[in-house]
Amino acid sequence: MKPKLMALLLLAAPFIGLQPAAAQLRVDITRGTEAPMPIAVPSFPTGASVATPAGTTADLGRQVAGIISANLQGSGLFRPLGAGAFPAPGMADVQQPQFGAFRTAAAQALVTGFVTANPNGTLTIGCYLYDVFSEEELMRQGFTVTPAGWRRAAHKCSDAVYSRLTGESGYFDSRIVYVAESGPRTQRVKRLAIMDQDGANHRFLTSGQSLVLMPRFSPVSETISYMSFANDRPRVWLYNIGTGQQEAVGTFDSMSFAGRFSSDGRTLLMSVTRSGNADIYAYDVASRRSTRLTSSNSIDTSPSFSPDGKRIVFESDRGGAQQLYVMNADGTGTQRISFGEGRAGSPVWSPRGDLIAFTRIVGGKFRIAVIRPDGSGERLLTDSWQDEGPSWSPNGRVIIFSRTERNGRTTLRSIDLTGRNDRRIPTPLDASDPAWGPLLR
Amino acid sequence: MTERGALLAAGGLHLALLLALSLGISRALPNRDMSPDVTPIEYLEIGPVPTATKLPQPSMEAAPRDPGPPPSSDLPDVPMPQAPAPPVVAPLADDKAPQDAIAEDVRKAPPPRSAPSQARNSFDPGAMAALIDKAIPDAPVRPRDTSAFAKSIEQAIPKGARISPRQVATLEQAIRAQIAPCWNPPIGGADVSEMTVVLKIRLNSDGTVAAPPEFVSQTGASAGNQAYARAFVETARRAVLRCAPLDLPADLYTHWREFELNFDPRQMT
Repeated sequence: MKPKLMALLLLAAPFIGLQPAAAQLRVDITRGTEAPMPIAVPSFPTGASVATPAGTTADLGRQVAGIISANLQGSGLFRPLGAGAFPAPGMADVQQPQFGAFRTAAAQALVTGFVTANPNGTLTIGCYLYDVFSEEELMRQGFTVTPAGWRRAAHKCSDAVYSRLTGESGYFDSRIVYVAESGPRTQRVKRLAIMDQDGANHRFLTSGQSLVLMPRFSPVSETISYMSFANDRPRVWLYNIGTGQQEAVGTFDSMSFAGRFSSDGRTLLMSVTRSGNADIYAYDVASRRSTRLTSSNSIDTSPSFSPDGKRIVFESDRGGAQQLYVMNADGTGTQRISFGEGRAGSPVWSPRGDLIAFTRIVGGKFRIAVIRPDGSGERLLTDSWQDEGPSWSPNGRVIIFSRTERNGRTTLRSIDLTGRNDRRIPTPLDASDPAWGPLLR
Repeated sequence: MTERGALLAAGGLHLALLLALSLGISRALPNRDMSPDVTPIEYLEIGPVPTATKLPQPSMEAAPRDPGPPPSSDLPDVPMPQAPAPPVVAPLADDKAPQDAIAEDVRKAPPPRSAPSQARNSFDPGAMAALIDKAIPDAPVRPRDTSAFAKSIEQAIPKGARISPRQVATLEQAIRAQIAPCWNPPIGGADVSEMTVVLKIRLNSDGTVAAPPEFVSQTGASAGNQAYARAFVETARRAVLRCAPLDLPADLYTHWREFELNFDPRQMT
């Protein structure tokens, strides 16, 4: 009997394992959190604190971490955790972080590094990024700077962290040029001013003797184009930030305005008026020759190249009201891309190429919006009384613009593409017409 | 003994008993001492055979009450319930009930020797006949209609060894509900709307990660967006590591011991 029973059990064995043919479970995660990523940015340690013209290295270590925190927080994508949440790391911890403490603080990533003074008077600032959960080193970079340039090292470290974690290029080591306004409404003084993207290192570029408008950065050089009423003749000028040298563009005997560089910096697009209408011209910076691109009986202005230089977006009232149009770089193939309620103006092509930012004007309200180059996917990013004059961050993720309050005050603000991260950019005076420059080298 | 082992053992015992009874061997059993040495070693801990009187009933009840789609085909394609995610524990607790009943019975079971006679006395040949080919009693060695037999046995196997569509949905919901809040997808990137990544997850029975999430596949990556593609995969990995340990129904461990997660943020953009 015993063998018989065993045989039966053996026979039955396959059936016991009769679980469903193991089609593996596969779960779709279609939503995540949009909450900013918690990231630890403790003070950067220093071996032995040394006095430098910019302060002691220990003090700089704290400030570098502070700048990185502020940059990351300002992006809206990160939530830096204060130094109080974990013990201050020492030099040995930079390459061997105590991950447990950062995990406890719920940080997902850790930015650390060091500040040391070199015998030749320069500073070395190390920058490390770790994944707190996998305990992997994600990135490390080092910067040697003069004591005066320590902020740039902090910005470069921020860019490296941002870029490694988001996969996009950064935008922190960059500058903004804008029009600083002061004085009563009837006698407004407008000066060109430049500052770091976080508002630091602010300085004025022009004295305010003549009115200036519409400054625009060259993406590749230390050159700004702007419109000046110097000598009572409004025209586009070029300004070299490094040398202070200025030069008028072209020999137009009429008004020229709204200059904007191509992404290679070789061509400057602008509007030139003749007998009441404005047309778009391309000005070759090297040869100083200009080519007319539009010839309608309307006001064509605010031209902006696509990043590949093949197309141009501009605004025109040729259809009756101010709208956006896209044409080839040689002026052919013009197509209207903005429709819908109200007017659309001051378009700027994103450095990423995928979007065009512009000012949507409906019922006396000016708002910042984006639209795809084919005219689809229009989206309003801001909702205030008067937001205008958008300009893209170098990575095409953030837009800076000017906001006019009902009391007449004008400020600079930035908004990211999600439309949820509306931030004030500090300026000492009223500010308008910002232009974001390229990443510094 | 692990719960899984216990369940398998219980299933096996049910089966053995079922076979023994239906094949007429039961007639020989009363004369025989059901000595422990006959019992295969893996059944030893259960030792006292479950009260035979109740054997068929709990087993049958343990089978899915809602027949649903064919149990063994295409589990992941089972349509999701429209209702919002039920609390993870509630429905599963319900499903567990029959097993708990069995376990309870095991604990209360009388000494082994009395079991066989009780089993014989309470055995309902009519019910069994519906399940098993009538020809089998005359052919003591091998059942002929294995498919029907397999089906009946499948139904008799306790919960946990197999999984109903409803449990699949519940398990998916539980995983989703725990992973999603930990995932910071890099939204706003130019290519985010087209990018997805599939990771293979291996978990210990306590919900902790048994091995680093393994890359399976990715869509939307190109030569031009490698940095973004890499960062994207890392956010998915981080989500799993950050969320662990996952709190998932222990009785379904065989189904979530290893599974795949498809991270697809299209609905977010």
